[in-house]
Amino acid sequence: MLKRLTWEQVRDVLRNLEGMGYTVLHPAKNEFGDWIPRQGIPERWPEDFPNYLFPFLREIVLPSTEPVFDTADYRPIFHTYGKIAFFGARPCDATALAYTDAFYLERLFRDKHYEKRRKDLFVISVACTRPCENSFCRTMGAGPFAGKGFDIQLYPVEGLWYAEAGSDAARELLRDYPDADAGRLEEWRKKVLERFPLYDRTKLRYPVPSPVRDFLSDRCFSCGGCIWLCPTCTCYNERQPAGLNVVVREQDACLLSGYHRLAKGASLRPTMKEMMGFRYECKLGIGFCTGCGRCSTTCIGYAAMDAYLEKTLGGE
Amino acid sequence: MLPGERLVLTTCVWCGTGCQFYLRVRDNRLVGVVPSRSHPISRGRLCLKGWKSFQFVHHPDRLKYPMIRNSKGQLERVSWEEALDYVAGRLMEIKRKYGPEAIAVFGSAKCTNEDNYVLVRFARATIGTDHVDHCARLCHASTVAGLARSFGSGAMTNSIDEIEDAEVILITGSNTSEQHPVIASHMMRALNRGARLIVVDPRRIPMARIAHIHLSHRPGTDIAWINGFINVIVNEGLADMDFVRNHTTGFEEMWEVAKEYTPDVVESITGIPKEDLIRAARMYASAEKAMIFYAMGITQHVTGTHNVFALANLAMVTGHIGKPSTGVNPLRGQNNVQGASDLAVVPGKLPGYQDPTDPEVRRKFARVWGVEPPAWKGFASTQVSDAIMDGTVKAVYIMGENPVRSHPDIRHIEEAFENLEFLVVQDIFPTETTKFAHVVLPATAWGEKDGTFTNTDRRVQRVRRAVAPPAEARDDWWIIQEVARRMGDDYGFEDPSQIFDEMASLMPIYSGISYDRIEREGIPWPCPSPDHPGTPYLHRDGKFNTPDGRGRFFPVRHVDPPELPDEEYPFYLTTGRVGVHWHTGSMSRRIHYLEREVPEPFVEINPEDARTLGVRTGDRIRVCSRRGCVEAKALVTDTVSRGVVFSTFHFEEAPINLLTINVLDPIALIPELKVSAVRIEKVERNA
Repeated sequence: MLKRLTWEQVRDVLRNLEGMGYTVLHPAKNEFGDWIPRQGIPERWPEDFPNYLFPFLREIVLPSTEPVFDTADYRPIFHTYGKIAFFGARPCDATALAYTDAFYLERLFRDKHYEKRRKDLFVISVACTRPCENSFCRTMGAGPFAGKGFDIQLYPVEGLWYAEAGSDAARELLRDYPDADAGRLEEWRKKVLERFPLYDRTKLRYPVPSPVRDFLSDRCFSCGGCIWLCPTCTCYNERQPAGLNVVVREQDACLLSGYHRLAKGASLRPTMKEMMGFRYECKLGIGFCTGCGRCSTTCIGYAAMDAYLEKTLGGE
Repeated sequence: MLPGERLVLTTCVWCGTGCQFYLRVRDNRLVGVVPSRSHPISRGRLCLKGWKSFQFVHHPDRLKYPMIRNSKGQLERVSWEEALDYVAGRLMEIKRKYGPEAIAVFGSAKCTNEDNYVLVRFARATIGTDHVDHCARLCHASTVAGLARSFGSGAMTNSIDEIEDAEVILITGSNTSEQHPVIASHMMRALNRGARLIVVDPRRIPMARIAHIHLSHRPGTDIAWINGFINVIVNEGLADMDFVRNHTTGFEEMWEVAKEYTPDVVESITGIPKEDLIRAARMYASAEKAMIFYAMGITQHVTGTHNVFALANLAMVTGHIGKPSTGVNPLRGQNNVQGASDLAVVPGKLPGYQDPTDPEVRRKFARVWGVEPPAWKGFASTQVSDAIMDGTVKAVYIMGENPVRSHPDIRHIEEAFENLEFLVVQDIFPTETTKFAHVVLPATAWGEKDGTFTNTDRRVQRVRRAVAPPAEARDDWWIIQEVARRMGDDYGFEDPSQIFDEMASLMPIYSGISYDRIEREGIPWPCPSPDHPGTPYLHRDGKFNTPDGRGRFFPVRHVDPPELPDEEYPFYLTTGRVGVHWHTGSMSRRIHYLEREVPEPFVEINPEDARTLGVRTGDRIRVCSRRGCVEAKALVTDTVSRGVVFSTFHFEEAPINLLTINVLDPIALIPELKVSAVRIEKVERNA
């Protein structure tokens, strides 16, 4: 389903969602110049919004820290933010959501904590028109338009908003708006796509060639930033913090030595080279990377995906 | 923000870099960190300590109630009224009986500028003592002493923003990527833009692995290699003699000494191959913009101040000072050690590095404080244990420090503290030092208080309260003000911004700064007026802050460290930190991910030495010096050279400062923490 809306009609859709009990979040710059989600219906779409540095969309379904079990009452705890309509998600993050959905809902087990929050989430992604800092989303098939992970995807076409429905709830919400010309959208998409770099993805694969891996390992200072900000990282650790009758589930990072350590201090991957290899197997071998570029923005050692691309592809 | 949560922008609590990020708050608890892309230093980057900083704040070990030691020797919970009355009463009694000089006060580089200012006023006005000091004594006392004499200002000469434009970066005695990771990040950016990196360090630290040149010298031989650089530079005509002539004094006297340090001589003292020394000296001197960065590897020596003089000589001889992307840049350890130093939490100074013997300065302070500050110079913290033992100091008031772990030769300080008539410790966790306290007062932690920190490049930045403190913990400034009020001196502060305004009014370098101006972004001092933008780099155009406006060369000679390896103690022990822990571990060891990374003490030993001793990684070894022994696991690594072992002072299981030597730099009174002689024994299982 492809519809055509004015900005006011987009706001009507958001108001409808509010009426359905959703808290609407939209991108806004705060007083310090950082992009942080704000609650309410936006007056206008912020043209200069690149993406959030922090992956707030992931955070809603997969909080970096959440209580999961009460050890005093011996019952599970379900942490939730309530019903959220996330307006202005970037396509890479919507795609990432599809990856985490696959991991937490469709593989070996269904994670009830994730599932509850996911059901309460309505995602309105907005297609990108310019590549953002360090991104290579087109190469990874996650941008500038998402193929999955959204309820509605909006395209800013010629002063209007073309709306693509990605779920039944979205189709219902958009039903009464006029249809859009799919051919026109295709033309627009073609034009926009040309602005985004495309690398030879077949070269970006595991195992990482060892000179590249060594270069990256020497520059990784184990801050974990690439993982704390990765919209597709799914690893976690469970523990009971001292003094609390609660088990918490926390995001964990595979570039920390403690992640790989076993009893008596033995390690599955004792060196940074091995940890780095492990991470790239996950990100590129399995395909859990959307090319959002956050890891490169936050990397202290300039040793994240941008360095990997440069080293692997050379001058391409 | 996400429903039910809010964000509070604050400055990081760990090192002196001054990163800012948002604390995520849910139900009055800190639940995470969101980096700030717009912050000029951190630019969306943080180290692991920063990412997980919030986790220590809610730890159940937090001190929650005031406690007084009872007749059975146990700390017993009391009311604030009782505790404050008792502290004020005891301090007045000791002051009456022995005089104000019987009381010493330790401030804290972890606390805010406002906390430290109130502490300084308390010491110098309410009590009337100049025995005021803090942990800068153990880190950059030699920097303050050295750079103040050479350049007229004891701080980082340039700013972090300038690093990426440097052509050559010289790092010595700083494990930058572990201890100041975000500053290392700016260096990495410079390297990506074509800069070259020289690392001079006895250890093969991570930055050495990516350096263009790594010079590994014997611990304690810094003056020799720096003089060697100068020797090569002058002899090869690479010195900037115009700069030397126009902007400095004392070159000839310095050269008289430095000319003896030929590459051959330097090689014999330091072990650095002369070809490498020459190559590195040429690289540093021939760059247009070259920056020197250093830290504890330079300062924590008996020759600490002389080491700093030598680096200042090197920068002046090449003219790499007073311009963007140059200078001599001490990387300050603590989040607010620059601020605590600015506030004169050191003896013999008044806030803003003002001279307590200057009559005009004395009058200015007397107008605000009601009394003139003491004109005599107090003890450094490293002298206090001796002063206690000889009966001069009877009481110590400590705000947020743990000297029983951080000072050298722990046995000595333990013995001294046992002899104190009165010890007050206000802190956030029980520490080795609170075990000796007569009164323990619970303070608010970072994340629970408002104020400012001054980072390593002199930037005054806001720190914000995000959550309420646990139980009865109170702000440090409030506690001290309440004690002072009971001693008859009412400061009348109601919030930290009032404190800031008062201190700024007394300190010309801060006088143009106010909370309003730094709400969005910090300002680097000197900032003398409200319309002044702040000063990113000092000594512009070669104008130094010395009385004659010229930089001063000091001739310095290599002298051997006070204790060298011998037959009985054949290894050099050098000490430091790891990236994931902080100092005595009272905060970092209470953070799960940090503790998980390095959960136990270790001693680095070179593979060849390990083979000789029959030691493998994971074996327990005993390290003994003339002062004591500790046991830890061996970590066999080429990070250290033959004959050198390395360990950290984070762990109570193996307090490495039992081994270090309490010999002080005669100028800065900083202890020799980087070189002592030890022997290593393998601990046999089931022995």
